[in-house]
Order: sequence, then C-alpha cells, then structure tokens
Amino acid sequence: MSNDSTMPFEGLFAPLSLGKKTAPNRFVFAAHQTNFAVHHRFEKRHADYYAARAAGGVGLIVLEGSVVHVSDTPYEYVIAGYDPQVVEGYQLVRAAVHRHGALVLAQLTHSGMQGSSHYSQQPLWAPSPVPEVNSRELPKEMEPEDINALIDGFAQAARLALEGGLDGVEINAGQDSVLRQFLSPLTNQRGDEYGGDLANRLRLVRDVISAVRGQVGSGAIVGLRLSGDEYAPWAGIKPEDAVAIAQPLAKDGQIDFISVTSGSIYSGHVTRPGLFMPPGFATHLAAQIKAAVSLPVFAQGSIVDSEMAAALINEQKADAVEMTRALIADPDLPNKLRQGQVDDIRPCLLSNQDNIIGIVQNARLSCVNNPAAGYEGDPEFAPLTRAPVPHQVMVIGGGPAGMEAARVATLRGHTVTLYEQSHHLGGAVRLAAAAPGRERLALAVDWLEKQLRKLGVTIKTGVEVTPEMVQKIAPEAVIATLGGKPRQRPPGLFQETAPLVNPRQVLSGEVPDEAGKAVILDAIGDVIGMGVAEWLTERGWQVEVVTSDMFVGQKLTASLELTPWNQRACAKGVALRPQIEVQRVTAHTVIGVDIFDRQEITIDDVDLVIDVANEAPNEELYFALKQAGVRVFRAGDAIAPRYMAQAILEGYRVGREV
Amino acid sequence: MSGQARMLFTPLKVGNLTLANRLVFSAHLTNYAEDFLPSERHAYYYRERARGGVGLIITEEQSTHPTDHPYEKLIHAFHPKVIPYYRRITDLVHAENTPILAQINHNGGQSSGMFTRLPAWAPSALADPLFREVPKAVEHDDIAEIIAGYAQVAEYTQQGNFDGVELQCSHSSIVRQFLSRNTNHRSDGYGGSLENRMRLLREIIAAIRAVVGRSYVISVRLCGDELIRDGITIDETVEVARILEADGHIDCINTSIGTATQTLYMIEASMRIPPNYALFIPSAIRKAVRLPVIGVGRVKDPIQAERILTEGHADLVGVVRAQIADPEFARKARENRAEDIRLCLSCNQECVGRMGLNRWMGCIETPATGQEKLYGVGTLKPVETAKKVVVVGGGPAGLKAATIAARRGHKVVLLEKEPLLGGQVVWAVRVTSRAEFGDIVRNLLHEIEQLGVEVRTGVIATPEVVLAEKPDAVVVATGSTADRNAIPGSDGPQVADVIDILSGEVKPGKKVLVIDRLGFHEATSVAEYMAEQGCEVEVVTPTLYVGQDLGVTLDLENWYRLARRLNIRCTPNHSVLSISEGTVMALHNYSGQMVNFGPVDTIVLAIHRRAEHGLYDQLKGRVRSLHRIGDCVSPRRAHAAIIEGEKAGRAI
Repeated sequence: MSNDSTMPFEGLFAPLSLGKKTAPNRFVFAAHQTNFAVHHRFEKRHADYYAARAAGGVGLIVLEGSVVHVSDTPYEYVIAGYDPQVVEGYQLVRAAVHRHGALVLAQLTHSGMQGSSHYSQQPLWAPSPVPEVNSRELPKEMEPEDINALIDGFAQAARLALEGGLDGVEINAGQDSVLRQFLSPLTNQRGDEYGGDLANRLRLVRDVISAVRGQVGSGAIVGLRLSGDEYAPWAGIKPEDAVAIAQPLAKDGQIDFISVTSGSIYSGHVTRPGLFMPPGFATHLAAQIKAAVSLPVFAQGSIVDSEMAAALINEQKADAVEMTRALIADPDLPNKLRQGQVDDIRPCLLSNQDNIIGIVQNARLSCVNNPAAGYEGDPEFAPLTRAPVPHQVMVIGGGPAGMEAARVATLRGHTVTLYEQSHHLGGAVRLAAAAPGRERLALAVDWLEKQLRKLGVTIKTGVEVTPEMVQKIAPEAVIATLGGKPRQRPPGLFQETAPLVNPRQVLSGEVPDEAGKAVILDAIGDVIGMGVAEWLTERGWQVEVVTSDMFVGQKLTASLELTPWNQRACAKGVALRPQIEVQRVTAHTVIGVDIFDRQEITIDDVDLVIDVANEAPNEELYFALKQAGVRVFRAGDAIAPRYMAQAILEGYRVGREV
Repeated sequence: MSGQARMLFTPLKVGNLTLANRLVFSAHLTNYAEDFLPSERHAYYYRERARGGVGLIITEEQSTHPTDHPYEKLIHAFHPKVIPYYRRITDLVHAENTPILAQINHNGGQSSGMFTRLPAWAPSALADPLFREVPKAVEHDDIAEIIAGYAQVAEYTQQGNFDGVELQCSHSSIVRQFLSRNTNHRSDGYGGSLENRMRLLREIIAAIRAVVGRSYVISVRLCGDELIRDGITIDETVEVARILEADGHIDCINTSIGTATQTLYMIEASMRIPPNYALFIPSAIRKAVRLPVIGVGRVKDPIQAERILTEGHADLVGVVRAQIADPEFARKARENRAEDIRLCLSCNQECVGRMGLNRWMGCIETPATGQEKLYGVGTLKPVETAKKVVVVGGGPAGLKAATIAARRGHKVVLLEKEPLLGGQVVWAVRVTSRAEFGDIVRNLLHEIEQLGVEVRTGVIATPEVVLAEKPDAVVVATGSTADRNAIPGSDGPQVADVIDILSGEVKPGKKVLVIDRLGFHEATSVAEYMAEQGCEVEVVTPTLYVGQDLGVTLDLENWYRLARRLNIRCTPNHSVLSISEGTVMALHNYSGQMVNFGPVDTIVLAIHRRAEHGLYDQLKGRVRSLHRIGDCVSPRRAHAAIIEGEKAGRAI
C-alpha cells in the first residue's frame, strides 16, 4: 500500500538482503538489556515483548545479549548464551517472532572489564589490567588459555543460537564488549600478538568471526557490532579508526552486516543517551562506515523520528535503522507508518524515565509513554474491550493521567467529558517541557491531546469543577486527576520576606524580569532542580543549587543524565553546593549548616529562592466526592505526586476500570 | 555451669517457648529470596546457625501486602504458596531443636512503586528521604487491608510451623511511620496523640492474636530513637512498651535504633561506632516492663554478651554479624572457646555492603555465608593422601588457602617475604579507626597456629626455592605492588603510596595531597592517619565525592565528621593527569579545565596496584597443581582474596 503520505517512508519498507536471508524491511529492534530473564534464560515475557514488535512490523530483531562464557555476568539477569539450556528460550522467542515474518538474531557478547565480579565472584577478564573507571574494578589480564576459552565460547554460543532456530547472530564488538576492549589502544596494552598494531588488535575479533562462521556455516547471518567512536580521542577508537577496523573485517568476507554504535568506558551515558543528546547523534558514524564498505550497515543513536529514519535510508547513509526505543514506545510504528497513520505513532520521549535497567535495583524495562512495554502478557494490557454499559464519565484534570484515562475510557465506549481548569491540556508536563532541552517531553501530551480530539472527547478548558457541579451533571463516574500542588513547608524555614518561589512558578515565568542571584534548594535531586536551574541561567540568572546530599543531582544517575548535567552546569556557571542543610531563608540570605560539622554556611545577596520539594496531592475534590457517594476514581499525582510514567499508567488503569 | 559466659547459657521462657540460651540471631535482610519466596539458601543459612547453638532465630522480614516492595529480593508472604517454603526452613531449624520466629512487616512509605507499579502506602503523603517518592496517604479501607494482611501472613507463618512472629515496628516499617510524628501527620483517629499513633499497632497485634491463638509467640520490635527531627525517642518507646504489655497480647520486646532510610549507619554500625551503643534502649524498656527484652548493637563476642546480661541491660542478646562470620559462635562460647570464634570485623563490606547493592549477603571472612550447602560446616572432607602444599604469600589469600588445605590434612608450608604475616592488612590497621579490621588476620593466624602450618617468614620465594620443597601443589598468593607509573611523574621523589605512609617508610611533609582513584578506605584512611599527625591533607578524586564506596559499608557519615574535625579537604570531580616538582595538574571532569593542586610536600597515591605475578609466570608449566589467588591475579579487595583462598584450599 502506498499513498502520498507514505511515499517518503517507502525506502524503509524495501527488503534487505543479509547474507542468504532477507529482512522484510529496514527497521531493526536492536539488542538491549531488559532484566526479564529468569535463570539466565529467555522467558515468555521476552517472547511477548519481542512478538509485539514483530507483529508491529519490524523486520529484524536482535535479542538481548547472550554472554558467551561463564566468566561474564555483567548483570544479574543476563542471558547465559554458553549454557545449552539457552536453546529452549531461543526457540520460544523465535517462534513468537517468526510468526510475524521478522528475522531474529542472537547477540553474542562478553563484557570483559565492563562486567561485574559481584555475581561470579571471579576476576574480570580484559586485554590489559586497566581499571574500569565506573566500577573502579581492576580486571585480570587474559592469559592465552583465557583467549582460547573466549573464542570457543563464541563458537559454542553461535551453535546454540542456531540450535534455537535463530536466523543467525550479531557479534558484539561495540560498547560493553571485550572485543572492543581488544580493538582499542585505550584498553589494550598487550605485548603479545593480540596487542600493539592494528593487525594484532584485530586478531581476536577475526578469530572470533572465523570460529562463529565455522559453526554456523554460510546459511546463517553473522553480523558485527562496532563502536564508531569511543569518545576518548586521546587513545580510543576515533571515527577514522573505526573505518580502518571495519574495512579489513568487511574484506575478510565472513560477515553479513555491520551495526555501528558508539561509546566506551568513559562514555556510558552515550550508550543509553537521553534528552541531552540530539536524536540521530551517531548516525554520521554509520554513514562513514557505509561509505567505506560494501556490506549492509545499520545506523543507531536515538533514531526515534520516522522522517530521520527514512532520510538515512533514502540518502544512503545506512541500509537499516535501529529504532529500538521508538519501538519500545510504540511497537506498531512500522505498521502505522505503512498505513499512513503517522500521527498515531506514540512518540519516544528519549527521557529514559522508565528505562532505568542499569541500576542495581534491577528495574525491569518499561516505557513512560507505553506502560505495556515489558508487560505485554499482563492481563491488564490485553486488548481493550467495550464497557458492558456505556457511561457518562467526567474526567477532572487534563494532565497525562486524565488524558490517558479519557482516551482509554472513550475507546471502551464511554462518553467522556474532560475538564481542565487552566486553558490548555498537558498538566505539569507542559511545565517540565519548558525547561531547556526538555521540550521533547511535551510530545507525550501533544499525542494524547491529538488522540482525544480524534476520538471526539468533549474537552472543557478553563473550568474549575466543584462538587456541586458534579452533583448537577450527575455523571455515572468521575475520574479525579487534579495533579499535585506545592506543599506547605515546615514552619520557620522561610521568613515571610524570603523571595520564595516554587518550580511551577519559575517554569511558568513568574519570576522577576531582572535577573539576579537565584538559589535552588533541592530536596529531590532530579530533573526538576536541573530544569529550573537551566531555565534561570538561560535568562541571565546566576544560579546556585544547594542540597544536603553528597552531590547535586542524586536522582539523575539512574537515567544517566548526571554527567551531561554536570557538564552543562559547568558551562553555564551554575554553582553546585552539596552537603548543606538549609535552616533558614531570610529576605536576602540562605542560612544553612554543613551536614557533618554543623558549621554555619550563609549565601548572601540572594534575589530569588526556589524551593524544590516533593509536592502534595490535590485530593480535596476526590474526598469530597467520595464522601458524597459519587463513584470516583483517582490517578497519578492526585494520589501521590510522582512522575509521568505513573500518571500514564494509572490513567490507563482507571480508563480500563471505569 | 561455669565459664566465660554463664548467664548467656541460662534458659529463658518467652511466651510458650523455652530458649536454651540468651543468644538471638535477630532479623536481617539477606537477598536470598528467589522469585520473591524463601529459598533453599535461606533454609541452610538458618540451619547452620541453629546447629551452631543459637537460642532463637528470627527470619528476615516477610512482607504482608502487595503495595510493599522496597528492594527487589523481598519475600512476598501474602500468598499461601509461601507455606511449603516456610516448612523447608522450619523443618531444618527445628531438627536442631532451635525455635524460630518469622518477622512480618510492611515497609510503608520506605519504598517505591518501582517493582509494584503501585503507589507506596504510608500514614501521610510525605516522601521518604531515601526513596523520595511521595506515597499515598492510606485511606481507611487501606488500613483495614494492612491489618488483614498482617493477620493473614501471621497465619501462613503458623501453617509454616514457625514458633511465632515478630512485628518489625522499627527501622523500616509502616507501623513505625504511624508511631512517629515525623511521618504521621494525620488528623484522624490514627494520628495526633500517642494513643492514636499506636492504634494501628494495637489493631494489628489484636488481629494477629485472634488468628494465631494464645500459644504462638508474638514479639514486637520497637525503635528506641529514630535519631531524626520530631522522631520517636526513648520515653515514648517505653510508654508504648508499657501499653503493649498491659494489653496482654505480646510475649517479647525486641529493640532497634535509627531508621533504615535516614540513619542506617546507626542500625548496622560499622567499626567506627563503639560496641553496645544502643543498649540504652533495652535498658530503659526493661525497667518498665516484665516481658523479656532483646538488646542489640554490635555485639562481637560472648564476653560482651554476657556482660550485657549481668549488667541487666537485656534478657536476650541479638548477635547477627558475629554469627554471620562464625555460625558456631554459640557453641564455641558454651564450650569456653571464645578465642576460637572467627570474630566479626564490623567492616560491613560483604554483608551490609552487598545488601545496598541488591546482591546476596556474604561475609568478608567466611565464603560459606550464604553458600552453606557448598562450603558450610562439615563440607570440608579430609583428603585420602596428604599432599605437600607450598603457599607463597602470607596475606589473607595465602593464609586462607593454607588453613583450608591444612584442615583437609595436607602438609602446608607457607612462605612470606616480610617479617610479619597479614599482607596489606598489617598496614591498613595502623589507622586507629580501622583497627578492628585486623581481626581478619588474627583469626587466620589463630587457625594457622592450631593447624600446625609451617610458616617461614623473611623468605624470598624464587622458583628454585619453591621447587626445592618438591611440592605436590603450589598456591601463589604473592599479592601486589604499588603502581608508580600510572600517572606521569608519579615515580617522582615526593610521591609515596598508601602503604609507604602507613608503614612509616615515608614520612609525609606538612602539606599533603592524596590522589584517590579507588573510592574506598585506602585514601580516607591514609588521609585520616596523616591529618592526625598534623599534616594539612587534601584528597582529590575523579568521583562525585571522596569515599564514594564508604556509603554502602556505612562508614561515610562518621568518616566525614572526623575529616571535617581534622580539616581534611575533599575535592571531587578532578582527574590528576601529571605530577612534576611543584605542580599536580588535574582535569576538572566537567569543565575540562586544568587545575594545579601543587605545590605540596608529599603526594600519596591511593590508586590501583599491580598484580605481582612474576612467580606464577615462572612456575607455570613447571608445577602440576599450580594455583594463583588474590591480588596477584588482579588487585582487588580482601573478600576476593579470601574466596580464592578458600577455593584453592579446597581444590588441592
């Protein structure tokens, strides 16, 4: 099917030959950690997750990495690709994916120094004893027998992947890979035939490719994942080195494609880039390699917009596009594109808010904008069914919770009217998106608003709903999604004369026109303090951030936003003042104490103080209605002010329940 | 009965139970749960301590409601499928004639929705300082559900053949959150006066008692001081204890201090906090009630425990970490062999430290902890033919390998080039606040002596020296050396490494810069040591703050307090790139600017060491059974040395 609106996307739907197999189109769902594994095997949960993307039209799925040797347990729920028991899981996933016509590969990997010894209680393996900068762990320099075991491990794992019925394998020599650590002089300081000049540093990758090809024969796909730039220009793989690595490997004639990623031990945040990296930031690396080799090349790096994806193919900068997070947010992206429903694609926000799989707590992968991601098999995400009796439903509050509730309730056949007291929809998300660099967050509520208008939901803005109004309208159900509000602060903390504002006021521009010195009191350490700081610096304010934590931005580590935030804070001259407990704020002074020695610390000449603290729920209407016997539900910040992910999930739930 | 600990081994009645002695293995997290259920590992872990002779075991918390999930490996006890898993534990523990209680709990607002995808529940919608997630202020229906959940889980524990339950109302519990003014801002019948704040607790107890009958033990663990603003203090806790006793439903009171999400370093105190620091709590409660009272707080040996009893601070003594380190603590105490106990260091490295990292609990000294089935008491089988084993290196790795091999009947010779055994530990414990770490070596040396391992110090073990012994097996544990080439100029004259300073080899000048790339005790210890001698010390690190890894061992707060007192300057976010006379150039990680930290009189390197594997390389292929363990494989922390020593000792 093809009409005017799909024309620019046509290139994405051309089949792609990979060795002796053909992927039906150019969309790739690339390998990524999910934490879904049980006993180091692929599970039904994986199968449901991948099947949803295959059903949505993706052409090639590369499964979550399978480690090839027992020396590597980089995270607790890693797939043990060396264990024959992995085969059953492969078969499960393969069946689920092949049903929809997509190809499916295993990714074979060994993390080397980027692994963890906490689970294996064994030393990490690496080309050289170079400390890993994040874990600060010193690996063991691999002995010749270790290298042989590693090569055998790749071969064995490749054989198991084929036994599992997969279409082939991708060998990881990109981020988090011992093979990259051998390729890069940053981490390879060996004096034997595996270190030194490029031919030596290439030796292990070549040995591995040969061993894998030897196992799988010519019929299966063997791809290679490379780092196009380690972002460590003093010693690491630079873009020109990546070309010099790719060319001989392509010429060897044993691989069927190259996927181009980026990053190294010094740039973890580039591996799971967030809002701080522009979409498509690494595609030039793929383009450069594509120009130098005659193999299919996959591009990667925050490719979330279909137009960009299509342009990469059409301009021959890449042969396929990894749109992993876009496909997490909307598994049906390819099908919607093909059917011309571009506006219906639920956008990826690149916020990494509910994709924090790297933290020690082992959070399972999900998506702020698609709560079903990772929960595809959960009954609460089964296809919506029509309500047995359609009701008049009042949704009060037009933030993400209210809009999602209204959307789902309408899809179920209810007649929904959405009330919003301000003059626009979007709730606190609009404020969050007002912070510099965070504009993309608004896509979530833009999408919801468009869907509501398309569904014909009655939207009444500028209306403050009272219990009396509800009694008068007498709906069959009410969904109260009134969000949060600034909390009453402990007495004594702020003098009346203190130039105090809250983050809502700042982000809606309610600050003095004349910029001066602003002090942010950050009790949370997340994106709010960061956003407010950047909003103010952009308008000429001199900003200091005060926290009692050990460092500013404690909650930014999970989404990997901390490093780029620190870089921007430096560039913008934001002063970071950790380890201070604020005790009193007067007209022009913030007075605190050092958290350890309780010595007084004052910040003088302050023109503005921003109190960044957890909000309180806006719950009065809910309780009033409940007391009055109204059938009332609540969702999101009106229960407890949290993040957009909770608002959308709970909005979805009440929409389904009502 | 006579001996070192007479009162400790006097029986005591708790409710219906008669405890053989006064030692309690009180509740603590292990992260041993699998699929949110008690695992086989739990059963063997508790059984090992029961065999070791402890009087009472209390399990880790059993969660009472689906809204509760603060950490991944929580046991979900609100489903009857737990019962067979409970029986696996109680069968093994009861076979040792040891009673066992199940601790039941709801963590309330000290949690998040990360795993549940539900709002956390709490008395008021106030974010916990650690989780920073605003919970839902529970409605009355929710409160009824909480109470029903406790009663239901109590019933499951009874069906699982436990001897009773303990309600955790202390450091991480919705019950404490209701009891405390800090977290309870309610204006209904559950907030305000003490009577109101106690209401939930009393309703829970009554509901449980109604379900379990009179003979099932109910213990209540109370927080004696939250150590926070508007928090619970001892007077109120004594009052709570009095009221609960008068209600007549409970059999025992356990005690605790601090809150898990704000003052954890006071709950599981490291060696920086003196033993017995929390005894004021049981002491005060015991004066007000007749119920048996359990005291806790870094009890390391039986003599200390005995004194707690004879001085009247408590009726029972909770001993956790000391029994994690040595499961036979009780037996050895009863047999008057206190000196044979493998003393806990209170280092928190592999027990508490792994909890915070969501990993299963272990022990720096005892690899068997959590792996009892594999390495526990009785698993070390004597060998049929004794081998001649040469162990080279008398640090923790070599000492551990020597003890294990000798215990199995091998003839072991240990060669050490220094005059003293202990490796780097010898120097680490020169720092006053780290002295207890030295017990790791004391314990091993005590074993070495008992086992008759032949020790030769001052011997440089060349391949010829080793081969001259005609060994059947060689264990190379030659450790590591300072890396003086890691930074350009770090081989210069004013540069020293941590051990140079602690050993007195190098006397630091007036102005000292410590370069920290490790983030653990090395830098903070040497800084403290030099500052105490009057040096002006600055610590520079590329990490976000100095001592980044001291957080999980709960040493951070007290080190910083000391550092402030000693005027130690802490400079994070800088990577030192070069050293020359008068300059120490560092890159600010985020601005990219170069900063000169010089001139200083002395530069101390707290950086990664180099594996000393020369002997291993030379012996490779020349010895049939060759093992390389510890830092000479790759320099890491002490636990790795001990684990590899244990494994090598067993493999020979």
